[in-house]
This record gives sequence, C-alpha cells and structure tokens, in this order.
Amino acid sequence: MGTLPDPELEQFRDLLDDLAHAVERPPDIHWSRYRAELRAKLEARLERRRTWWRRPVPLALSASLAGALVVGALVVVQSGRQSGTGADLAAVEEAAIGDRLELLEQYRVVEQLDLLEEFDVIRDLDRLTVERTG
Amino acid sequence: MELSDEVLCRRTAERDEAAFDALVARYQGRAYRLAWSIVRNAEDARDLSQEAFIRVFQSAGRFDGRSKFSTWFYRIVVNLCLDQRRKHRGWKLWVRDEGDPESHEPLLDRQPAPSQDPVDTIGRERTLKRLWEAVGRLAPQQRAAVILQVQEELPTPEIAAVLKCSEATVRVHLHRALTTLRKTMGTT
Repeated sequence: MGTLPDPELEQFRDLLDDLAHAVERPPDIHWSRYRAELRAKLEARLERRRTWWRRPVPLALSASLAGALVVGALVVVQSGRQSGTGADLAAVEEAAIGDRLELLEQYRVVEQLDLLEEFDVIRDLDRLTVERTG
Repeated sequence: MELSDEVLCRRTAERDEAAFDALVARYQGRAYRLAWSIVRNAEDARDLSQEAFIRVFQSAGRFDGRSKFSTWFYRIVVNLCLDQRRKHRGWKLWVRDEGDPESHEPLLDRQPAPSQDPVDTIGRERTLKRLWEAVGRLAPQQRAAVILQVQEELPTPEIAAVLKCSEATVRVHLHRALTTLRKTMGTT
C-alpha cells in the first residue's frame, strides 16, 4: 500500500531542489598559482620539520630525555640488584643477631629439649634402676 | 589507465610527488568549492583547501582504505573548515553580543525573520540567493550536511562518514536545517 506524500516532505524536497538549482560558485581561482602556493607551503612545512630537529632547544631536549632515560635505566637495574641481594643481607643479619643469643650457644641442649617431653619416663627409668640395684 | 584515488594516496604515502600532484589536480576544484561553501570567503577557502592537501601529504600513510579516498579527504576539508569557523565564531559572538545583550541565542543558530520586503519574493533568482544566504547562517554541522548533500551530492552514509556521525544524526541535521530554511524563507 503506497503512502500519501507528506506535505512537509514535499516542502523539503522543493527546498532541496531549489538549493540544488542555485548552487553558488566560488570566485574563480588561478589554479597553477594555487598549486605553486601549495607546493611552497608544503616545502616550508617539511623544511620546518627538518630544521626543528637541528635547533639547539630540541637537541638539548633530546639530550635531556636521553639522559633521563639512561638514569632511569640505571636506577631500575640498581634496584633490581638490591632486591636480589636483599635475602643475603637478611641472612647475615640473622646470623649476627643469633651470635648474640646465649641460647644458641648451648645448641646441643636446645637440640635435646625434646627429651623433656619424655622426662617422666626418664625419671621412672632412673627409679627402676635404683630399685633393681637396691 | 587512470590510477584510482586510493592508489595515488598509497603512492603519496611513499612520498611519490607525482601521485600527490595528480591527487591535487583531481581534487583541487572540489576542495576549494567545498571549503568556500562552508566559510564563504575565497581567501580562507583557498588556504583551508591547501591545508587539506598538506594534511593528505603528511598523513597519507594513515589512510587505511576502509572508506573511499574522497570520503576521507572531504572529512579533512570539512573538519578544517568547521574548526576555522569555531575559532571565528567566538570572536564574532563577542562582537555581536556586545550590542545585543538581550539575545542568549548563539549567533549561528539565530535566524533572520522572514523578509518583509515583497520585492524580494518577486524574482526567483533573488529568492534562491536568499536561500543560500540562509544556508550560510545555519549551525555548522547542519550547513555541512546540506552542502554535502545538495552540492557534492553525497548519499547519507557517506555524509555520515565525512561528519563522523551516524546516519540518523545526519538526517536530524538535515531535518533541522530544512525546517530552519523553511521558516526563514516564510515557506516559499
């Protein structure tokens, strides 16, 4: 089933037709001059980009950036090394502290502390020995 | 055999100056006309269209070939023109609003009242001239949409690609533009 043309749509179509029939042309232009200008602008832009890197400020900036990167890399490497030796340092520290502990000096006693758990048995064993001899 | 725009663009990316010159020769008229339609100033249009070509030369490598070269190029031209208008708009608003403190409506959205002069409605040419003048006062996106459709005869999907918006948004821009034009012309 076809739809009836919307009057608003019709008006819009008329407007678009009017616009299309009356497209205005811009003022004439000398095209070879236009292209010459474009070529000159392009060359200037490319040249500016090339010389920018040769200027002292960009050079100094590049050098600073490179320096910062080197320093950064060194810091990262150094911190990596420190974290690698961190465990060793802790072990040395523990040994130093351990040396100062008296308990550890009597290490054989400490090793035999588990005998305390069997103390009653051991005591009884002693009594049994006395009774047998007595 | 004539090389396609896309091939010329790829060669431009490889710094083939002859390919770039061929693109310029092919698009210079369209670029200048489109820029002029948006900015309505011959000198600005010349500068902006040349700038568009410089951008093409510098960033041809970024053209991925998913759209047509013409769509990509139109987008560059339209963006440059709209940017330029935006810059000028702030200044113009300031100048205009100084003498018009009552108005809070943005300059480009303000529409003139329908002409009271009956002589204006007599000649069709004059009416059509007024119509294009009214297009010049539309909001930038609406204006670009109208120009791309009427002047460049681009289909809606391509206008959407140029303006980087959805097709629905293009239709909204066109509808608003035509509504405003109809009001401006007093439904001629």
